[in-house]
This record gives sequence, structure tokens and C-alpha cells, in this order.
Amino acid sequence: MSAKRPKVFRTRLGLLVLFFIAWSCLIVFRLVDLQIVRYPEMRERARRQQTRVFEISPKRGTIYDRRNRELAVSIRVESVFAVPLEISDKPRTASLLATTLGLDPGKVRRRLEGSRTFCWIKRKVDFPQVQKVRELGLPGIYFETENKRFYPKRELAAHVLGYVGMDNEGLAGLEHLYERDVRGAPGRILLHTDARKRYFSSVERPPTAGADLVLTLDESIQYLVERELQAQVEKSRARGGTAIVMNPSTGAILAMANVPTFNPNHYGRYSESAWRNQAILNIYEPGSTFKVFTAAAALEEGLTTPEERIHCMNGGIVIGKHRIRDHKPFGWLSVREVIARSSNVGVIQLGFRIGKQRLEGYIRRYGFGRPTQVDLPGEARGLLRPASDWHTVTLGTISMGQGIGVTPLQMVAAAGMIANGGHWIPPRVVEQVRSDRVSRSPSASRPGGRRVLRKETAETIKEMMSLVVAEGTGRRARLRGFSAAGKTGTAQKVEERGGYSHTRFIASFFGFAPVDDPALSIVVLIDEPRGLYYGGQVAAPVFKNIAEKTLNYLSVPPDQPQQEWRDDTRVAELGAEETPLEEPVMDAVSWTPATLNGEQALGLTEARAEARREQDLGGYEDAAIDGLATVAVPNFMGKSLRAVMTEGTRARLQVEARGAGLVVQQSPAPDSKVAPGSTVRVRLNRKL
Amino acid sequence: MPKQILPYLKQCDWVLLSLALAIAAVGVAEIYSATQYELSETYYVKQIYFIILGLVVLALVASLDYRLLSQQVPYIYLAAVLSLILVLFVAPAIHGTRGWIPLGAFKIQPAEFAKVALVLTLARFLSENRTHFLTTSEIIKACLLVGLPLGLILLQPDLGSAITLFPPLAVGLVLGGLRRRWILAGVVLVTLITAAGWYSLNPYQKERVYTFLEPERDPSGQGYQAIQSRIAMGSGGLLGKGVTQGSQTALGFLPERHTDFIFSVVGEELGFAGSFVILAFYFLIIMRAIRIAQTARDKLGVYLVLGSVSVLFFHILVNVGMVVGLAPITGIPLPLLSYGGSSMLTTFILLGLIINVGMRRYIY
Repeated sequence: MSAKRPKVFRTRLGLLVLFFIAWSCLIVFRLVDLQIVRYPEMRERARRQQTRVFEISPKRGTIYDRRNRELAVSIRVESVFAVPLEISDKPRTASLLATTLGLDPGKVRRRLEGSRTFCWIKRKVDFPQVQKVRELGLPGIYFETENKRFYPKRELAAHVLGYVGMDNEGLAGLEHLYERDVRGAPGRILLHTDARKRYFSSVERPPTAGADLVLTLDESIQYLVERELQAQVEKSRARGGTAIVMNPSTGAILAMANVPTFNPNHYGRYSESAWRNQAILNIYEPGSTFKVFTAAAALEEGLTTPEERIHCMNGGIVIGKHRIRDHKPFGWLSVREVIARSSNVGVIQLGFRIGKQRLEGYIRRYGFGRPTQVDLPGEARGLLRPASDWHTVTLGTISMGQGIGVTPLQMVAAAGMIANGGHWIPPRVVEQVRSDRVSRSPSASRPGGRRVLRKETAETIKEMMSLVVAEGTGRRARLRGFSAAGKTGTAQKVEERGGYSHTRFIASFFGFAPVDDPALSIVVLIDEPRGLYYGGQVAAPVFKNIAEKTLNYLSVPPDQPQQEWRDDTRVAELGAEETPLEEPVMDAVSWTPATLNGEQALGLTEARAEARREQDLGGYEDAAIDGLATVAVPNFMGKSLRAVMTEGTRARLQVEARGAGLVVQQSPAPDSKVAPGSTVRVRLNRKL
Repeated sequence: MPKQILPYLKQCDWVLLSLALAIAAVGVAEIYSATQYELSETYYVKQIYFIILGLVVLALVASLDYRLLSQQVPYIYLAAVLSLILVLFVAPAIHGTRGWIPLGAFKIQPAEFAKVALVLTLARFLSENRTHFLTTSEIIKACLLVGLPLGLILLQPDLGSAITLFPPLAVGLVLGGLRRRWILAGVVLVTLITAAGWYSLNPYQKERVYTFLEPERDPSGQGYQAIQSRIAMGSGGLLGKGVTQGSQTALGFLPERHTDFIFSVVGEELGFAGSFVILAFYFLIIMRAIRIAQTARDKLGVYLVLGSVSVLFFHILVNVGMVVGLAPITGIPLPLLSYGGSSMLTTFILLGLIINVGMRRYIY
């Protein structure tokens, strides 16, 4: 049949068939391209346009103190949003919403007109208001349950906890640092939308609650510390203050407080400066408190002994073009006395023995000049230039705590290091990150402690520091029922224009208690106190109040009779009126020693000081007047100097000690009957 | 009678018919899927009725000898033209066009039957030419035969349907012996008209062309359908999401999903595999039809089959091209697959004609 068709027909039909086959191939190629090659892209596009993802904010983890008391919780609140596409009468809707929710009608209207599919009307609305909006029954207005952070204890531990933003994102403090753990995974409502953007169906993926944080902080201690600090800041009309309480054997921060503080529920109402966690951000010159560390380095290196007598050049030392003076000319002083009397000249000489490199090494090992790596965000590293940048005079000033910047946290950690016998332990705030599935201790992943000082060196320094409290500038830190050790400091603040201020100080005290087995190391800073400004006057009493109450709260057995300092107030007043409790750091150029003659109060050897001590230890004076009583001399053999001193005072005896280490000789013998106030001489030696 | 019918039934192209029914069956499933959330109408049930009706019509068309049928061409042509005139006066305007005559429960689209009428008319006209080539007057006559219904359809206005009248004319003229210079002249003419037409197009029509070339330039407007169709096809992947599982379809992103864009529903729910098989079925139907044309016993049969094939192929070409993004968006349904009674009947009539010619190849 087909043969009969003309050739033209056949070729043309052939061409048409060819065209048809070519077209078919083209379509198949296109199908391969669309459905196989670009399948992932197309699938993604389909998914995107078909689903609107609404995130349900997860319940943010609760933050507990170490005894599981809630410090930060998550509460459910409602937010109002609109789908403007579904609103026909926008002006009316806007004005109704505005009046009900107390918003600006113009703004609401602009929002409704600015978006087609979604806009917030008001986030986190009070329940009664939500109810009113519901009752309006407006089309296109919806409610979403959100979680809102709430800090039930208000200002308590605000700087540690931090705060969260409108979208529950941690903006500061632990909220920020542990964001990933605490936040949780947002739940998702997948709203399948049809082409007209109407919600079609929904698949809900429940949110995963964030992990809880259990802190090392103790709500009661924190509260106490904040109260005491606030009271002192107000009393001394200071700019602010910081106090930190740490467990020296674990590095656990029990309390960290700053004044001024803020209420994280309404952080926006406070100035930025109130948000600052000064405990980790404030860099200050440690001043006299730092001499302890210089002495420790010299002892550790075997460059001196506590008994070695150093000539203090009668009040001044010349380094290059600079002359550094003591507040009072000293002649020969033992190292112990150098610390107790806070002789700049003496400690500078120790510094020179150590040398730049070695001193820097020690300072760094003490944890200064670098972050402690506490689990709080934005910790300052402090200021410590490398030894290669030090001038000769810098070595001198750093030895006495000038020309170096430390943070309160570094200081409390260093105090802990001495307290626990020479082991530097990184401080930490979070005990545990706890969720349904896992529970981990963040400290486990952080570097452990390191030995910085030999135990003997630490013990020697502890003795020196306990003397500062027992009899020296830190007397106001004496505790009822507990032994304590510490060092006061009064640092001049650096003026904006350079140089040291003569009117603005940082009064500080750092120490620990009880001395033998310290349960607490504490640092207290009062920033720019007015009136009294010595660390011993302003900061030491805060230490006392905090330490005493905290030790009792923690049921630490007292190691001193409760009535030990029963006329403590009198002593304190005496101290305030007659004997300034602090020796300010010497300004190399312009300080006048005349203002500082109260330093005799330390009186370790001089007769004059001896007499004053009688006054200071008032209880014994009373007993002496009784004249009839006798006391039994305790057995001091084999005990540490600190133990001897505390037991001695408890027994109303004076102790005169020589040497370092443990008691090897005692006179009179144990159990001898002597008059109260008699002097017992003991000799100590490192080796029994 | 059985003795007389049996040989015809033996010669009937059952394969072609089966392929067509298979496609139509897939169409029912996909129409069901595409309209499962529309509660007001049960399109797929109606489609089944259309198919049954179509089969009946196909049987009728196939049983009457096409030579007898061609004798009725003047009346058929006249009826088509009259119905096209009628529709202009009777039909209610829907979206500004009048194409549908409501008739009881159904609506009749005269333009669809005009295609059949024209295939028959052109076949008869061309078969009466004894030479291998067409004279100028014959060409003009053929053009006029097509021009009358075409003009009436344009008055509705329904550009999409009007265009579908060209393929039988073009195929008929080319195969009927149009001289090469005329073909060249036609190509030149079409090019010139296209160029001239481009400048006379309204801006919105130009925009439509731009959008075809690059749908992403207006994803929520002109390019919307093209993009949504591609997304539906593409997101089907190799094996598809399964019938009734197509989210693009179910969520109403696809416009005209049960009519013009039914092929993208196939693509989404049956994947590459499904759309390839459907395409292959169409390919086989057309190749079998061409085979019938090659073996037809007379010129009338050849032109009937090739005219029918040209109409079917043109629909498939434009519709599938549109769905996969190789042709601009036009309102042309996909034969056998798209929902719609008129389209279904037209298709079955054309298939009936093809089978008719095929059955009578060797039987006198």
C-alpha cells in the first residue's frame, strides 16, 4: 500500500515522525533533569512553600543553687500575633488591639500593613490582657504560648545568672555561657499551608526542654553576702563593691556578689554598668595584699626564711630614679615582720632576690594575668606585662602589688591556693548540667588544679596571714568561734590622667577561715569608700560577717571559743579611733608617711606594741585585774604557730615564738599554773 | 452479522485502544487524587462516565466505514460551524470567554468538535486531489475551510483552541503535496508574522513570553503556574510520592491541577517512572497510528489518520511542554488524561477514526 504513496509524501512523513521522536526525547531529557537531577532542589522548594514553621520556644532549663533551690525558672506566657492576610478591617483591628494591649494604634496598623503573613502584635502578654484580646474575637489574631524567663529571687546572684533577651536567648552570665545546654531544642509546628496561605494541617514536634544547671552557689550564702556587701557599700558611701566566697578545696564558688546590681527580670531598666560582673571584670591593683605572694615566692625558692632579718633601709629604697618609701622607717625586720608591717622596702628586696623572670613565673602560677577559666563569660585576664618589659623599678613595685592588675576572682582563687596548702584550683560556678538524658559536670572537662607552693611554704604564709587577723591590720576580720587568716589592702586607684589618686581607693581584704582546714576563702572589695577607707576598716568587717555566718550555716565546727572576742566591738572601735588598721600602698613619689603612724598597732616585738596588744586582747586584761585566777599552760609541743597563737589566746596567755614550722620547745612546761596574761615562749623548727 | 463483524474486530488495533484506556485509567486515579479535598464535585466519577461515553462513541465511529462517514462531511462541517456561531450567542461568558453550551448536566464545547469536523473535512478535501501536488486555489480553499471555524473560535475568544486547528491543516498541506517553495514561503511568512506580531503584542502578552522564558522573574504572578508545575514534577523524584500523596497537588499550589496540569500531578505522585510510562504510551499510540496511516488503503484513510494524529500530537506536545516548562502556558488539555468531557469525547472520536481506518486496511 505505502509503496503507492509518492516519494515526497514518504520523506515528509518521515521528517514528521523524526520531529515527533526528537520531541519525545527532549521531553524525556527534561523529565530526567527535573525529576532526577534537580529532585533535591525541587523537593526542598516544595517543602519550603508548603510548610510554615512556627517554633515553639522550649522550656529553658531551670537554674538551681547547690541545694536545688530555684534561681531562674521558665514560665509560660502568651504572645499575640497576627496573620494580616486574614484581616479585612485593619484599621479597626489595629485600634482595638492597641487599646486592649496598651500599644500605639499607628504602630500596630503599620505592622499589620507591613507584612502579609505574619507579625507580632505583642510578646509575652499578661494573662488578663490575653483574655481580653481573646474576647474581642478578632479574625486573623492568634496566640502563641511562649516561655519567659523569670528570676524569682530578683537580684539574687544576678551577675552570675545573667539574663535573657526577648527570644529567650541568653545574653549574659551563665544564661549566655550555657546557652547551648540551657536553651533546649525548639519545638516546631509545621503548618502545612495551602496556596492561599491558609493553614492546612499541622504536625507538631514537641520542644525539648533545656538542661538544668545546678550551681555551686548557695542561695543562703549568696543572700547573706549580698546583704552584707550592700550594707557596707551604703555605710561607707562607696561606689560599689564585690565579694566572693569560695570553697578552697574544690574551687566551688559559694557566693559571688557585686554592688551595684540589677534585677534580671527587668535588666533593661538598669544602666549597663550595673550588668557588669565586677567580680570577673574589675581589674584593680592588689596593693599590700600582694606582698603575701612575693614573700611566698621567696620562701618557696628558698631565698629567705620567715626569721631572716632584712634591713629595711630606714624607710626608703632607691631604684634607678625612683625612691620608694615605707610609711614608717624600719631597720632590721624579720620576713614575718616585713609582711606583718607591710614594709615596702623589705618586700622589694625579696622581689629583687627572686628576679623578674622568676617572679613573673610565680605570679602567673598564682593565677594572675590570665583568666581563671571560671565558667562565666567574658572574664578579664588582668594586667601583667611579661618580665621582659619590666623596668627595674617595675620589679620593685610589682613586689608590693603595684603595676599589676588582678580581678577579685583571681584573688579569691589565689587565697584558696594558700588556704588549701599551695594547690591552685580553678574556681567554678556550675556544679552540674542536668537533663533527662545526660548529666555532666562541666568542671570535669576543665583543667585541674596545679601545685604552686609546697605545703610548708603555704603553711608559713598562712601563719603570717593569721597573725594579720589575730593582731594586725586585719583585726576586724576576727571571727567569733573561728580562726581566720587574711591580708588587708588599700590600693590607690589610678586616675584617668595617669598617676595614683590620693582620694580614691579600693579597700580590700582577702583571707580564709578556719585557718587549719579552711572551709572558705573570701575576697571583699569596697570601691571608693568615703570616710574610712582602709581595707582593714571597710573590707575586713564584711569578711567577718560573711565568714562567721557562713561557717555556722555550713555547720563547720568552731575552732575557737565562742566568747573569744566578746569585746570585739570595743576592739574595733579602738582600732577605728586610735589605730588605723591599714597601711596604704606607698606612692613612690608623694606619699607622706606621717599619716600612717598607726602602723605600730601591729606591734609584734616592741614593748609599746606589747602594751597595745594587751588593750586589743581586752578579755585578758579583765582577767589580769581579777588577779586571783590562774591558768594552765597548754601543751604546744608539735603544734603549728597558728595553733599555738590561737590556743594561747584562748588560754589567755601571751605567746612569744621564734622559728618556723612546729613547736619543738616550750617554756613554761605544759600544765604549769601561771597568771593569766603570762608569756609563754616557744621555739619552732621545720623538723621535729 | 457476527460473521461480518468478526474480521473487523480482528483488525481492530486493540493495543492502541488498551494503551489509550490505560492512560485514561491513570487519569481517573490522578483526577481523584487532585480533587480529593474538593467536596463539591466528584470529578473522577464524571471522568469515568466520560470514558464510558467515549468508548461508546469510539465504537460507533469505528463501526461506520470512514468512506461513508466522509460522505457526510458537508453536514458535519456545517453543524460544527453552526454550533460555533450558536455558542457566541447562547453560551454564558466565563472569564470573558464564551466556549461552553450548557446542556443539562453537561457542558458542551463546540470548539472541540470543530477539530473533529475539520479533520474529516480536510481529509476529504485532500483525498479528492488526484495529483501529487496542490494547486494555489486548492491551498486557498483549504485555508478558507479552516479559517471559518478558526475565526469563529477566535471570536469567543479562545486562542488555545483556535491554535489546535492549525496542525491538521499544516500536516495535511505538507503531506498533501504542498510545493517546497510554498513550505519555505510559509516558514518565512510565519517568521515574519511572529516578528510583526511581537511588536503588536500587548505588554501583558509580551510579559507572558518573557515569563515563559524565565518564570522566576515573577514567581507569584505570571510565572506562578510554570514554577509550581515544575516544583510538583521535580519533587516527585524517581518514583513519586504515591497517588493521593502529592502535597503540591493537595495543597492547591497547582492551578488547573485536574485539567490542564494533570501531567504534573502524575509527575509528582508517580515520579519520573510514572510520567515516563505515560509518555511512552502516548508515543506508542502515535507510532501505531502513523503505522496505520502508512498502511491505509486509500488517501482518505491516510489523511484521516494523520489529521487525527496531528491534533492529538499537538495537544500532547503543547500540554506536556507547558507542564515541564518547555512551552508557554496555554489552556490546552492533555488528551485522555485531563478531566473534561468534550476533550475526552473528541479524543475518543479521533481514536475511533484511526481504528476505523486501521480496521479496513485489508477488507473491502
